[in-house]
Amino acid sequence: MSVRLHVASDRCTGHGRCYTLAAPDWLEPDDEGYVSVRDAEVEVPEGAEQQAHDAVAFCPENAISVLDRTAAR
Amino acid sequence: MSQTHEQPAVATDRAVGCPVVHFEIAPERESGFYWEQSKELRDRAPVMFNTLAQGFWVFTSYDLVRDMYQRTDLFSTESITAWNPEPHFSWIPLGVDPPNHATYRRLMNPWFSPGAVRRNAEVQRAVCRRYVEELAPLGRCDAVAEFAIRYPTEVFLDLMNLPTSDTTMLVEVVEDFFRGYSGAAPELAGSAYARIKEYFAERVEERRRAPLDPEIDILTYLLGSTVTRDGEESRLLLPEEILDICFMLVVAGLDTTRAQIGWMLYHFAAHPEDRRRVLADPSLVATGVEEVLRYYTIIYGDGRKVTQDVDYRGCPMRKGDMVYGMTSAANRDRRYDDPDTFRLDRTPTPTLAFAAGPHRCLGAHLARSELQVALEEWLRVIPEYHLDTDEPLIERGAQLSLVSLPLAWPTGAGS
Repeated sequence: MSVRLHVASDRCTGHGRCYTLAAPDWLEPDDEGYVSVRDAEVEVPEGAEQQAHDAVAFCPENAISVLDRTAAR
Repeated sequence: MSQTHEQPAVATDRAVGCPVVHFEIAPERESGFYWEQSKELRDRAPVMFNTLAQGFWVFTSYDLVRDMYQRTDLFSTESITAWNPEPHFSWIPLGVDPPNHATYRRLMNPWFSPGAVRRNAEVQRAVCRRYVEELAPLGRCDAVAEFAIRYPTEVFLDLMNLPTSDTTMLVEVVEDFFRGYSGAAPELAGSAYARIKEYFAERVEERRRAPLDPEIDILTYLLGSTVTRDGEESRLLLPEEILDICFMLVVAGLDTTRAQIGWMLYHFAAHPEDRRRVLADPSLVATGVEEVLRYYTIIYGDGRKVTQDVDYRGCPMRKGDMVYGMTSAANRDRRYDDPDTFRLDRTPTPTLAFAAGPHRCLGAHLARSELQVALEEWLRVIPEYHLDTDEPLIERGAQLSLVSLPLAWPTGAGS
């Protein structure tokens, strides 16, 4: 089970819909309002896969992608 | 929308492959007029050419409006007023194109981040509560003039570490600016611009002579801030740049929140069933505010200036042309399920209410918080209320805003 989330820093402009509306429990803003994890693959917590997909769907910049290694195998 | 083509004053020969239309954007109309018009335009075509003023391209689809916001290489913020390609206002950071934009934006982000907004949340609630509790015993008010304008202005002054006793002055000058901008009183815009600059020039001068803690005083912070443009050496912000930033904060932050709070209170007056659902289930405040931002999109559209000759989606655009992305139409795009229906619990799929791309609304987190607080506090104190007029309400164009909103509610013994 390895679902990962990736935020592209060149697209993220700090709308904050991922860390406020989609996944407030495990995504958070930095001091400027961008999601704190960018340009890195973040492990999605067990059971929070739907929140990861919501984060993708709620982002106005198409900055977020979900990488599902289990599906790829 | 007028379909008559009475000899347009502009050359439309290049507007090939798309409808040529003529529609108004700014004048005052009966409320609802402008959203009805943007729905008609949305249903007509994704790209059009409007012969208003010097003439400009119009986008109505979500994808095109978002692309306009994101493609800063093609669409410049040198002018954001489609019907005025050569504005004599300057504002920062909005008026600065990437890559230089980022050096200014980074200075401002921490002051409007979710953390900063959270630290200010108690002030928002206290100010809002005071206004609502003062109004409650009266049983009626003009919710625009007595609440929606004043509450965010006072919060803004607090955030700027400026005297909240300046609220009335700032309300008046911002009103003048937007009455001018929308064309209701064009002569007012220039003098309001000068008065806003003058007010901040005086405050900045005070800080120069007696600096405060730059951690809590934004003007002192700006006086000590540096920028790096075009790869040059970093330098202190110029005095004029500081004023352009202050002007930006004022005109982007105050009329917008006033307008959005007005429409929100209007909605819950006109739709008591929605009001009662929120009262019964406070978790609907967050999704309800998102839906207010989508359904009652106050940014009728945003203008951009074309940076180069380009064939864009079949349109032969030339450098210097203006485009107008209709944010209000994009937020009612067919991509949304049943887009013309207000749904309190709509899944928060993205909207362009706060734009997109690098110029994404700096104050978005503050605005969202102020709206949620306004709804909670209003309904807590005045749970039952209704429109207090039989006359049609009037809306100002361009940045869609109710001119006034007469509301009434039961008072009386025991309440």
